[in-house]
Amino acid sequence: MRSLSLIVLFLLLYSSAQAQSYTVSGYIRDAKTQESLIGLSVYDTAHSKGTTSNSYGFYSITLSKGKVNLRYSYIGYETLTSSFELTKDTTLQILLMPKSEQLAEVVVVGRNTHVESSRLGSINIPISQIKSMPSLLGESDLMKSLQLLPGVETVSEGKSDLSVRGGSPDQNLILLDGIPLYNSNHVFGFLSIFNADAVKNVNLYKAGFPARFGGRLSSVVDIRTNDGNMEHIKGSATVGLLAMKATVEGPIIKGKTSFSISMRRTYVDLFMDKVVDWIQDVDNETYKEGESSSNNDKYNFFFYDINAKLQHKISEKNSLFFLFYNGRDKMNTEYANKEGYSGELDAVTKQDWKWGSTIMASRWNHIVSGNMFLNTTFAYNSYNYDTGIRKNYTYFEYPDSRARNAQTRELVWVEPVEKQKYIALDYDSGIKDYSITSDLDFIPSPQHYFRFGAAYTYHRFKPEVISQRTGGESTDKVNYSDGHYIKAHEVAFYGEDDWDLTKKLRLNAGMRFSLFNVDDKTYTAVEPRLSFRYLLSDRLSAKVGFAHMQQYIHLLSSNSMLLQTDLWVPVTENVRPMNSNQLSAGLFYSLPGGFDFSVEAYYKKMKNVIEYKDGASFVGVSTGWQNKVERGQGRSYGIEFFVHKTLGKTTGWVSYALAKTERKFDEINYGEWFPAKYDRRHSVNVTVTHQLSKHFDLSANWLYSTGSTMTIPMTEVVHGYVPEDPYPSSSPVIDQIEQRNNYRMKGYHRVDLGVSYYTSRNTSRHGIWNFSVYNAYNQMNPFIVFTDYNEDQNGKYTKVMKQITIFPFIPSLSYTYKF
Amino acid sequence: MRKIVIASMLLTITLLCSNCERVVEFDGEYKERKLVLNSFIGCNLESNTVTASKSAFIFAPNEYVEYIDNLPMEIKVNGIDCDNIQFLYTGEYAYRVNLKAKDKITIKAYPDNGEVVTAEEIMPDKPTILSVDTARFFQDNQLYMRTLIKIKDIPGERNYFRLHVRNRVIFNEGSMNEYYIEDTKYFINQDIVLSSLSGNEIKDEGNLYRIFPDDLFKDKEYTINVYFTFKELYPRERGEIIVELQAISESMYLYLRSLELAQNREVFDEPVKLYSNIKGGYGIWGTYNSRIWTVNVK
Repeated sequence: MRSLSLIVLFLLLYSSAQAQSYTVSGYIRDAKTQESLIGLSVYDTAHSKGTTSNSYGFYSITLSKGKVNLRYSYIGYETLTSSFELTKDTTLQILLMPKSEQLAEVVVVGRNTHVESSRLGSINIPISQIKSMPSLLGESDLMKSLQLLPGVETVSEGKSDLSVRGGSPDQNLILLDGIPLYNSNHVFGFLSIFNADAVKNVNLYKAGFPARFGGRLSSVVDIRTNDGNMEHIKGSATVGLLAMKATVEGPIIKGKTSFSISMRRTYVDLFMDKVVDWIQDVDNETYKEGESSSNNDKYNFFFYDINAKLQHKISEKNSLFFLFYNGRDKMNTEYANKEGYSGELDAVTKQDWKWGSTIMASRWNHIVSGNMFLNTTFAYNSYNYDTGIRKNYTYFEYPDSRARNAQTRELVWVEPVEKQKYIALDYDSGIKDYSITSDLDFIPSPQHYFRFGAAYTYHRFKPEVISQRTGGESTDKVNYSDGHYIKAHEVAFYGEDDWDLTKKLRLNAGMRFSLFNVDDKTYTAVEPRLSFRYLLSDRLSAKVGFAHMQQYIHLLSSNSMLLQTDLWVPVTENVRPMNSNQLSAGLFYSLPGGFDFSVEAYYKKMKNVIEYKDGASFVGVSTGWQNKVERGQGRSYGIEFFVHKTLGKTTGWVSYALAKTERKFDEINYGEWFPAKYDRRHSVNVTVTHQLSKHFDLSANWLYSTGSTMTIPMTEVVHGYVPEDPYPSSSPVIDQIEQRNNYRMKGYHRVDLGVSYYTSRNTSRHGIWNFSVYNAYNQMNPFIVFTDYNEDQNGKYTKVMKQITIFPFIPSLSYTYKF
Repeated sequence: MRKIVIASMLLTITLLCSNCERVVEFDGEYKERKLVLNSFIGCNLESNTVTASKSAFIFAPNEYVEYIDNLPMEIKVNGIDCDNIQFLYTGEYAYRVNLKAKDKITIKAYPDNGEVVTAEEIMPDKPTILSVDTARFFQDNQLYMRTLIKIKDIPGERNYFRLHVRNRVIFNEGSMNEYYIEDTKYFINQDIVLSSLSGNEIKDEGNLYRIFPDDLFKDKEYTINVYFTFKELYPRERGEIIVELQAISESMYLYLRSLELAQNREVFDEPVKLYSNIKGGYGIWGTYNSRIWTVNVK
């Protein structure tokens, strides 16, 4: 409380000290939809000073009294100029008109954020570009688009999880409108949960993290969704190979209240049963007459997600937002056996996997004064992963062999009785958060951009709750139930300033204080953040950044499991918080014609990263997951080259990254460094989108990366004969593994191609056909490799290496209708 | 259009389901064959053995592990040569050395690839058993014998132990028909130092080799709690519980731990690197020093 009073006092004093200056402020919005525009450049050509709009579209620039000439420019919008005599604090709501023809060149006036910003390691990709990229199964995927950036890798073939600069997927802070997400995967990770139609803006931070972000080590993916069209009802509907989706947005009270809702659902489940039946019928026909086939398995799968937002402008200074997200995946299998074990008949085993997130949040945006903006968010966030197995079967209960006739006392035969029984095992895990966050932007002058904030989160972890039940026709009994909730409190305070020390030198200095309390144990951390930018010329700058990050929650995810097995757990007394120090430096250059060039080098050191011990099993993790993981260190270093073309008919980027990432644990690999599974030495990406004509867009990606690492046995040895061995092994031969992650899979590469046909670009109602080919030259990239035995013609077994490829050449088609 | 959509769907499903698993040629580096030496050297044994073999690269056709029958090697205790190495059979060699605690025992072998393979190990101190107490108890209509083994850690160093308990019943003792049977199956799940080997749930018996470090009782006394099923003795039968506590070298501990995890690894378990302290090769050159305590059971 005392520190808050000091901050307020400081702000008031600072404001009064700037008395000879006046502030121009307001929101910048799209003129057609009134959607707020993020990161838009505002530049006063009279004073050669500028700023950018924040994540909520608010801008503020404080200038000296007199003539001002403000220019508002943004890619894809007409530049707007406003000249006037500044004599008092002025509110100027800006409506920018989108360019009707995106083919036209845009010239950004005054500020070049790529070169001028003090941020490094951050990239903004226009959502329009993401939508126009080739898609997998007709679904544009935001996370897969981010994997095409330098320093960002996929965890394995086809997966949407990100590994940023050698970090594990749980080290990414994925924010949906500022709220952290614990799951970003549909379809076991092959698609991300983000419906591109609902997304407005995406920013990725890999280094130089501003102090307002915290809680993860490796990256921040800041995703902002559409607020809703304030003027007209607009929408789109898309049918793809896998799913269909629809988005509708519009005013409830014109200019005051709007809504936006996007829904997506797979429909493969509607015909999956028939496809599986058909495949099994064909399979069963191959059985000879008289043989019985046990192939009666059934599988099905579906997912859905809903993004909804309600926006209400209370006044020019106050706006309220309500956000809702709900997404679920469900897979079920069913196996039927005529005869099972121990006299079980007609046994049917059903297994369900369900996982998904729910977010509900309300946000209040308040303009405190022309140069002060407050955002307060209350959020509820939950992620659940449940699985259950239930076996129903019949059996015959035989009578007591000693049963006798009541009168004759002779033994009698009593017919067995057919009875029903079931056995069920349920496994639940998840996390629930209740949070309040408050962020204050204070822009006293063009030289300073202060941000202060505080956040409190109440976490409720459910690492695992397991219960086993059995029952019959009239009985129901819980045999076993175990599991407990872990409650934790997380608090953070931050302050940062984007400060122009001189015309050439800019500093972003910040400090974050974080606290985590769990089971009477409290961890705290002071996290300094610092980045410098020095302008070498109008088009060239050098930047250096340092960030210390602290992470209090871990994701336990098995190396071996291909299915979704995510389990979030908090730090404990033994498993301490992860932290990292990252130093990065780079050169940033802008060429005429919209070419941005950068080269960045980094060194990241991580402490207390966790990894499963040798031989540890994900199964049964409730019996002390802490004992199964090992704490250790990690290091990543590399250099990244990036050329990004943002303007013109042809946009896209070319990138190359050279990197190395390793891990070291006392009890894994006997204390020696080994390559992390996210280690990729070389990685090249080429992404191009070209507007061929009024009707056609073409797009292509080519990517190559060094193969990922995994552990496979390559050598066999005779093991020692152990004296007094109570259970001597039948074979003296055993696999000898040189080290963890001793094998590197073949290099990964593929080309994706896409073509979009617009029935019209100039009318609001039009259709878009998209045809994409994923992996166009059918490269058989390895998803996983393993060793197995092959039998030759002489019946001799030899060990061979086998590979599973899951995404060969895959064409897809989708149709979108916009209105 | 409907036909195109359906055709695309079928093509996609067909491509997804077909040919996803295939045999591929190993594209990594060939792993040269290495000498594998295995020996657990007991301090109190009259004779110890070492087994020599060659490793095999599993992706090389017709390459299998092979025992080596005529391997030149030197074994030294505190720098003094042991000159009685004797080839027994299929890669196994015997040697006799007088060993005591803190002795350094080394091996140097010369396989035919021209390399020199070495290993060295120190013999641990003899462990201390302070007492062994037994008590019968019933549970679920079954009689059990609890054995409480009080041991004392060797102070000032990190130590590793191995426990072996034998439940022996001697029949017709003193007569011409004397014989005995031994049961070595006992339960360890009530003892924390024995049951926390891997962090995994106890699989059946768990901790197959009954090894444990002194982490939980460093420089202190500790009472190990094990039990086994027990049958009351008849006349002409005598029972003995033979407790053997071995102080084992760190290498032997790490090897046995990794061996158990590797042998019992299941599909979804993490991979296991088999420990080795053989320089230039694979295997184990481990030492142990035993203390035996026998309790008569009436």
